[in-house]
Amino acid sequence: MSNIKPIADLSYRNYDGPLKKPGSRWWVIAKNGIRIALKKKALWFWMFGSAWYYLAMLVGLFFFQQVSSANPPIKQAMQAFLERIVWQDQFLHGFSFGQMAMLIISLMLGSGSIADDNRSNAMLIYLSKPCAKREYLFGKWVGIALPVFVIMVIPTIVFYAYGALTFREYGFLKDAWLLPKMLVIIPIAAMLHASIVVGISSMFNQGRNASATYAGLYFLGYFFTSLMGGIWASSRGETTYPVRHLFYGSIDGILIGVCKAIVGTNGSPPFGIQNPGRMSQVPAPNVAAILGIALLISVVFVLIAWRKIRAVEVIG
Amino acid sequence: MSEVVVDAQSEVASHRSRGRIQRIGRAHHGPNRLDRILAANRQGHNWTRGEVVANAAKERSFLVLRIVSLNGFARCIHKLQPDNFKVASLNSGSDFTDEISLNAARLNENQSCFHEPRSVPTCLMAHEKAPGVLSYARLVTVARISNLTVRYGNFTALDDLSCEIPEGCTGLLGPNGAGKTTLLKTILGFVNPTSGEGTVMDKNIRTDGMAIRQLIGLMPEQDCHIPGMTAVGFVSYAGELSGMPPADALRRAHEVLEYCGLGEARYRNVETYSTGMKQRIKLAQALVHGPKLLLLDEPTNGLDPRGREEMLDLVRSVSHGRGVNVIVSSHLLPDIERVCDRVIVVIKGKLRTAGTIKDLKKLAGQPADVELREPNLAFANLLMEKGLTVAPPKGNVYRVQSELPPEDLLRVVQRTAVESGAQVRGFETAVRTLEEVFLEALTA
Repeated sequence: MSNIKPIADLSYRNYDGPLKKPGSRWWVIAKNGIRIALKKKALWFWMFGSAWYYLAMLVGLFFFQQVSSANPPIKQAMQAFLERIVWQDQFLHGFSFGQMAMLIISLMLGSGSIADDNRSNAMLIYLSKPCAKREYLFGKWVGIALPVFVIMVIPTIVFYAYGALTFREYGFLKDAWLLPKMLVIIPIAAMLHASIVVGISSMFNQGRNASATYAGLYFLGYFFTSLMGGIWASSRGETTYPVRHLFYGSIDGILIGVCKAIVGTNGSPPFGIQNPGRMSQVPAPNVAAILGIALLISVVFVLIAWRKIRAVEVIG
Repeated sequence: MSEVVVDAQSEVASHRSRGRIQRIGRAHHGPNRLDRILAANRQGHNWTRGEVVANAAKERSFLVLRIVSLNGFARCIHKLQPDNFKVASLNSGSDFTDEISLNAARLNENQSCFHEPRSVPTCLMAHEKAPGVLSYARLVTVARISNLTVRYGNFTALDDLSCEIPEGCTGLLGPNGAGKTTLLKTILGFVNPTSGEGTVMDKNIRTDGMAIRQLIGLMPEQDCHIPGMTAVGFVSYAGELSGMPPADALRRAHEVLEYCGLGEARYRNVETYSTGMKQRIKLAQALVHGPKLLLLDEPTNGLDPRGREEMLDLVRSVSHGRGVNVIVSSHLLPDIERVCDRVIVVIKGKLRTAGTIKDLKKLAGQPADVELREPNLAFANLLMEKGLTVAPPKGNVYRVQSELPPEDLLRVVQRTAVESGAQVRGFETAVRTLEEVFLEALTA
């Protein structure tokens, strides 16, 4: 302490102001997590990266629409394209192609959320305050799930708004419940990512270890799903029964399955390209089953985190 | 403890609640001079309890009011004395609690209570003394533990431990594995006791863990911070976690960081702080929400001598006269001795000894240490001839014991020194060191 005292009164005074009752600390924790995450510049890059399919479709549709108005052959091709395209599937592709970026965003937001607290003994700070363990965990969870939800939902809504305003005569609004369905799917995806990353983060003292673990888990599953998809496609859908279910045996697969099941589509080739007839899409899974699996995985990882967060070693 | 008796021509039934002072009674005549005291109290001298100790002599139109306050209040009154009060008497006692008595006119209520909001228990004590008698009050208890047993599996960490932690600064002493940590965890409400009961500021440790943590600030032993935050961000975040509104938390963070000597470095990332700065920021985050009880675990860990001095000054200033009660867990006896008024020694989960440091250091029979210019055998022999007990000298210091009061003993020593030709350099009541007290408790 400096002996040179400034003019201000620096003597200790008690705080007699208002204190909120316990119960709302989770929002303080979530807010802080989001605030720290938003400072990461790379997050902004991946935010746009996660919406690349929607952006590509928007730019492509807008460009060809402008060009086709002055060019009859292009207009004809555009017409055929718009009549052929399955709009629900574009949301499925926008959602599924964005999952890789969502993984990275989830890792940026959440891999260190609890691991870093373990490393820096921040748990002592949190749990010695009037902040319950459940509030801490829920706050950390919301701090990941909410940004993931927002990052996914914005391009979806933008694309929907553009399509609804521009292509309604081409059957864009054929499924009136498309947007509500997407607004159900996206929170499920956010929940799954947030739960897994929180659970894995709680198991480590280093965010990078948690990142490596989740990324490894995700990519192993991703390759597995790709393999199953390849087997299914190459057999033109005539392969044995388990393949169509094993396709959904990964985080990526579960999310695609949730989207297919809720939107009610089996999918089609991306960007509205013509299916040459050789490719066969894996049929959508049962809604209840796939939602049950997503929920079960989320609960398991949240329970892992719950077990790992302990108010121990508070003193010495 | 200091006692000041003043004449106040006022009615003094007042009550402090929610940070404001409310009048309970009404003045019958004259200015309410106690308001001046209350105003002084607002300046930082927090009292914890006030009560009428004697409904003395209504025919004399005054009452004796006793206010127990934290250190500084009586001195404050004493300063105000020339303008406002006639001080009848001033007695000094322990240095951690002030106690004053006011002669106040025509108080209607037999009992009234002054207390700090959200402070230590404020229940009124029953009258213990006869009317008109000035007396010292019991200390308010911050934490009360009764027959507490905590087991981790087969291991008993706390074994039927009972103790009371009064207001002020209390040191928690004990060897490794003694149960200090478990006791503090239990106070924080983290550990469910196997049996026994406990209250912290009237909150039950079994059921009111959250409410207890609202009133407590913890400065852990280990380095702890929230990654990626500046000091001011970290401390204000800690305030928000304690329930403070964001604006209040930010303002308060600046205040406590200044107070803890981190004003210049408050915008730096905490991860770049030195060990000493990290110790301070731990204290700052513990203080931010204005806790009534501060738990400090090895507050001087890893500090250089200057940093240690500064940290101890800081702890002492917080715990004396600021309305913050402190429990310091430390292995460093000089640190405990410097900042604490009381100690609790816990060994193998049992309470071994507890009390004020001053009392614990006292030796039976109140012997005196007489320091001579040089050893003098004749001096010792003469004292023994006069019936005094003289222990073998340590250097040129003789420990003398007798039944005489200290003043009489001093006279005997002086006379004997003249008779034996010894030059007395010093005379003081002999005490043990805290280390001796601790070792005795350890080996008992």
